[in-house]
Amino acid sequence: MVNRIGGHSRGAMSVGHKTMAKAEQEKKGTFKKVLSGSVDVALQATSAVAPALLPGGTLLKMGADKLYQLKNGEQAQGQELDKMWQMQQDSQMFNMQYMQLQQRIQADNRDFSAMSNLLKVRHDTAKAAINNMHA
Amino acid sequence: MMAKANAETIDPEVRAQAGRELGRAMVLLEMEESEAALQACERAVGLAPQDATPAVVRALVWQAMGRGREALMELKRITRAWPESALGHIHFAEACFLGGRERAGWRAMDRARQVCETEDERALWGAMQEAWGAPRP
Repeated sequence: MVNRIGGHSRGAMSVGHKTMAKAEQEKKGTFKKVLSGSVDVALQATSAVAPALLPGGTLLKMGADKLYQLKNGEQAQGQELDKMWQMQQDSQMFNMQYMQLQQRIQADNRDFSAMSNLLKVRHDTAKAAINNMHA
Repeated sequence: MMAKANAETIDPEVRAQAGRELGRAMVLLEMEESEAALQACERAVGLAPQDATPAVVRALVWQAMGRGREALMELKRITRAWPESALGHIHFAEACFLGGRERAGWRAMDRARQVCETEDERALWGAMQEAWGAPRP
């Protein structure tokens, strides 16, 4: 037992110190990662929720997007967001066109029903008038 | 009124014969035998010249044959000869609408509304208004 305690050399102490420093470093790294993740989540949440909930939310969203880009410092990420934004705009445009098409189809259906009813009633009335001549 | 009185005093058998001719005309028209339908109408008009119905049906046959102008003039004549004929007014209105004379058509529709008597005539008036009432795009 004494031997073991006495066996602690200077080198062993040095290794122990280095290990502790490394652990400290890793601990610091973890905190940084967690903080970074939290900031990312906060920015993304702001970007997603702000336009729907807050007045002037679109501006806030743009700001959050920009901050996100700056923070990550990745051009590719910004380009992805731009693409998503563009796709969202395209989607809105297609939705609008689809709605207009549906409205036109409904109007055509109404016209068709009216004309179909007119033809039927027209025929029935002529038939009734002719039958009236037999009486 | 005079025309109506004349139509009522016509021999019922002759009137019935005219009715059969008109029925034949309607069937022929559905079979797209327009010329034969028109001939049947002419026979009906010859049998019952005092009655508005044969003249109206003949105008409808003309319209189906694409002779819109003749149909319009005939229906106009019918509305004057038989002002109490709702069918005449309604079909005159339709001819006006088809000819692009909307205002004249709506005037005829107003006159038709005043003389509609039977349920069929009112139904036709309603269907006509529904079909032509909505503004065209």
